[in-house]
Amino acid sequence: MLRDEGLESESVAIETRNLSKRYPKGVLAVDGLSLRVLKGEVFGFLGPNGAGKTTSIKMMVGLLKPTSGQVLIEGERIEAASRRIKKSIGVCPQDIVVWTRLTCMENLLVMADMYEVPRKVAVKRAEKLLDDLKLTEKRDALAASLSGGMKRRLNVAMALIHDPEIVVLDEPTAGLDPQSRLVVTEYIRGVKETKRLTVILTTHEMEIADQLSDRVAIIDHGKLLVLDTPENLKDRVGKGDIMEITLYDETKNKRAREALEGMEGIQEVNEIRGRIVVRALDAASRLPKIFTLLESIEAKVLDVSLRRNSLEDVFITLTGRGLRE
Amino acid sequence: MKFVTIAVKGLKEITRDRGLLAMTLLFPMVFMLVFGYAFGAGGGGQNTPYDIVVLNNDAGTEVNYWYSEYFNFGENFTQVLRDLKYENSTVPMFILQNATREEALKLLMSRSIACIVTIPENFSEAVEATINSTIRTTLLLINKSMASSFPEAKNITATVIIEGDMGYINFGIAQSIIQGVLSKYMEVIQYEAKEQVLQAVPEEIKVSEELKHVSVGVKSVSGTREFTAFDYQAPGIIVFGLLMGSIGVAGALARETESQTLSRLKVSLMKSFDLLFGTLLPWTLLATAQLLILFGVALATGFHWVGGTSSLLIAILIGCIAGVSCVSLGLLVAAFSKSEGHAGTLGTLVSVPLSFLIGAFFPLPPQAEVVTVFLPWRQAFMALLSVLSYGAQFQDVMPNITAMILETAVLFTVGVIAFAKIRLKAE
Repeated sequence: MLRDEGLESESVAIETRNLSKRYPKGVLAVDGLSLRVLKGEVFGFLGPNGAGKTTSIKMMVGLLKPTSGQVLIEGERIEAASRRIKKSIGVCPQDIVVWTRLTCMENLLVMADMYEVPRKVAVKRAEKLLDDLKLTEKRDALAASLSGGMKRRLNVAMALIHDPEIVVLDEPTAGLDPQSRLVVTEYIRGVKETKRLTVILTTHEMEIADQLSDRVAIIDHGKLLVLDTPENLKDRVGKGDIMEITLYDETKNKRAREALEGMEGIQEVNEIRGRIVVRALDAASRLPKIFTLLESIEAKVLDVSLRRNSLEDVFITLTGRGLRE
Repeated sequence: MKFVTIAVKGLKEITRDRGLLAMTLLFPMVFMLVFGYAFGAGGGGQNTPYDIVVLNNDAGTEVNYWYSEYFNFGENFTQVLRDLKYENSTVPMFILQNATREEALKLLMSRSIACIVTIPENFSEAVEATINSTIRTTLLLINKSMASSFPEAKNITATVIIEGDMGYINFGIAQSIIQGVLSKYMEVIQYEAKEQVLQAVPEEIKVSEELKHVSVGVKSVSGTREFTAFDYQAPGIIVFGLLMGSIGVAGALARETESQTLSRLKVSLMKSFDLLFGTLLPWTLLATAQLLILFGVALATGFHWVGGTSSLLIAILIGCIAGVSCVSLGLLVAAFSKSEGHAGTLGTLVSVPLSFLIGAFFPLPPQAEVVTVFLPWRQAFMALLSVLSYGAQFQDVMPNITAMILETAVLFTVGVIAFAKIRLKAE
């Protein structure tokens, strides 16, 4: 059962009903997706590459026609969306989509005109967006001359110039340098705190989803696996710490895993990308016993790390594999 | 108005892409130079005479006006063709070979001659009827009583047949020159008939007020005696040059699809009309610049046109409308193009055959006219040829211009609908 069932329809910004998309070559990219995005929330769409996130949001904003199912924006079907509804959505695509032979300001003003924003308002808003996204110095620079990170920031700004009520950000931090990543995440955080804006954020980066989202939907192979707040999702897979152990000899992973599974206080053991991932309550206090156990089966430890559990662990628990696999 | 924003955006993108701008503007220049010299413009080309056979079946006629004289206009026209010289040259334009029809057909098959010109038996009678009709019309305007005593013109039509291989370039050039010469020949005959009437009628019986309405002004006929093949090919080359410009338009719009900026616009409040009309405006400006370059280079390389500056201005107007048609074609091509490369290929596949289909290089068989009359570029070609080569006036080409405008409007509307259905709908 989904957490949002039974919600009042006035509080729903976007609703998908049994949404599916099969591409002409037969690939089923989205399989019966049903969910509700609430007004004013940051909704994280988490899943590995190729999970169907982009296809889902393309259908949500009306760029792709679903094979079956429906998308409702504030109760209106997206195919027949009114001007008000169209005006209420801002889309930041995964790829950098800017007019390279226009300046940053010109790019923003073209989009503002397309949404019929009065020129004076548009100029003010564009100045503010350029300032917030640290692009003021590049105001009159051609987009072609910007660095990749700056272009991506401009990409985000173009989705917001008409002051939409719903913003869809498709992998806004993908391929960003640390400085640009910080600027973008801080901006989304700021928007979340100061405006009642509905943000749909797709990402394959669990830290971003964890930090920014009010609720997270995890999808894989086009299917919705789970939908809840990040905290509830992490609690759902069990409380505790995560210990990642790398052995000198990977061939001993299986034996080590079997040994650890039988150990008292260990809640879960998985093998991800050649590492043994152990979830246990108060894992630090169990370290000596774990080392002794591994020594007894002649499995020499190369590296050990200890951390709090994350959304990736939720995904691992649900699918038995990592997000980046 | 969103189309204004799109138009300004397009103009900025075009002017900031120096490579594209240079290519777009240099292309017609190079193109006209190459074709111009290939067709003998500026004296740089080879003034090669075209071998033809003239079969004069004209029976001649007795002309009875103020004097009586036997005339064979067919012989006279044959002599005109024989005497025709290239500009600033002693090289004849045609070498008339003596042959029977059977021999001529064999020569045609082996491409030893460019064409066979058959002058019909009633050619002189038809010319006489033209003279008769011209005299009556002129007299009617000068003195009605004198006109009523003059015999009425016979209702007769003579057709000069020009036969040749449509796929042979020499035929294309030769036939278009011969058509021009025949048209001018008839014009001169009419002009001389009018002049004779005016000289023969005493001054005191002329009604001067009505004479103002008699169009007997002498037109500049810079091409009549000193033709170059280029003079007849230039209108076709101009239309072809403009048609090639449609590839650029299609490429620009396809770039929006390829770079996904179209997706941004798709989810906005923009309509297909805004995008296409907004794209049409800057590219029309560019097409006008191309047109002026085409004309400029044509004139610089020795293009002669009939009539004065007014003819040139009418031709530029026709060219501008043709430019809009070509841009509209580009918009339609863009509707079916997913990428810039695809638009380039598709645009070439459409515009090059179209150039041949409208008769820009080779004459069309009469059956093809039924279809091509619906193409604005055919109308443009015909209108340019009429104005520049045959000295037609604005009112003469008004039907062509009207048809062009209507056909362009239809083409643009089809482009808007196709683009909206194919590119602006959810995939």
